[in-house]
Amino acid sequence: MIVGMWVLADGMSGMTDASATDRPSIPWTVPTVFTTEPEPAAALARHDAGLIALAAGRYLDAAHLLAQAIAEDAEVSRPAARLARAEALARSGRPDEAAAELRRAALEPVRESDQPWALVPRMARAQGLIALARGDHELARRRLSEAAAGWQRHLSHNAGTEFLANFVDLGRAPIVGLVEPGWELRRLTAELARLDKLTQVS
Amino acid sequence: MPGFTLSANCRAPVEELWKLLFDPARFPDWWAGIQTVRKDTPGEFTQWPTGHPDFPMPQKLKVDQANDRVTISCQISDIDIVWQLAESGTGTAIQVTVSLPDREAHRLDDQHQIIEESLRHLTALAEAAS
Repeated sequence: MIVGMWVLADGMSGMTDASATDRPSIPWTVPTVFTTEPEPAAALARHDAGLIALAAGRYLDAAHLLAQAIAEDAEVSRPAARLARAEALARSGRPDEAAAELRRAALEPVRESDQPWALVPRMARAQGLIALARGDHELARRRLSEAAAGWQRHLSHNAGTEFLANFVDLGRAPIVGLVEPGWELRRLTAELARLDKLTQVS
Repeated sequence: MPGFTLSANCRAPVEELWKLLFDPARFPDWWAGIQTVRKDTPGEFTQWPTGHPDFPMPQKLKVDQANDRVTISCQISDIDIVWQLAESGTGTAIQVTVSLPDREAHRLDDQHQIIEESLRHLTALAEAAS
């Protein structure tokens, strides 16, 4: 995962670890109102900060920031942002809200820069996390395995074309949002292993 | 331009159909007459018809942003197949529109049969997964 350090506010340094471990929410340091930036940039910053909060395990903050960014029409991949928010909600123990967000992701218009091929395994993973939040380990395993199989098919992915599509559709380099199938697959493998342990214990 | 439109209601939620429609690698699981698929560049893939491993058929997958439609265009025959999904209660309404160039008009009945069968497979697969 590539994250943009330029969006970090005071007190956020050291939060770029993409750990999937749960952490308690702490007061967020990104201001919700930006007074010195044009609104599109503020919406974009909230989106990127939301992804960083998600990667840092601050799920409620992530859900809040991503909801704001989506509502403000941030120039980002809307289906991907909704899937990220669905993950944040599922990991916050709100599977019903997560499922509703996932549904909205499927109904969003999709552009080339949304990398539709990458949205499919992401959606399967979000479904897996929702199942996990509901305590349905069997369904969670099925969905996470489906996502892993999806990433497996894209291991030879060349990011160059998508990088260009981001420039054309969004008018900027994808500071966050570049897709790394290998990294996604490793994360899913770890999540499946944790699920196996969870199942053995329960 | 010859063509036809088919529709179906599926009990599966829209996201299950969405995953199958946006992933050409899954097409052989439900699209009648497709044996294998190879992903090429983003938005492009090649498919091989069942029983014809020597006939690669390059395709383009594009999304109509305004209407949220997925169009599969065959780069050899110029046949366009447009899929559209919409929420319908707890399930999904599927509509598929096929347009053939005049020179391919003789394939209209075959295409109708193939898409009708594919629509049944797609619906069944999505419902089984949900």
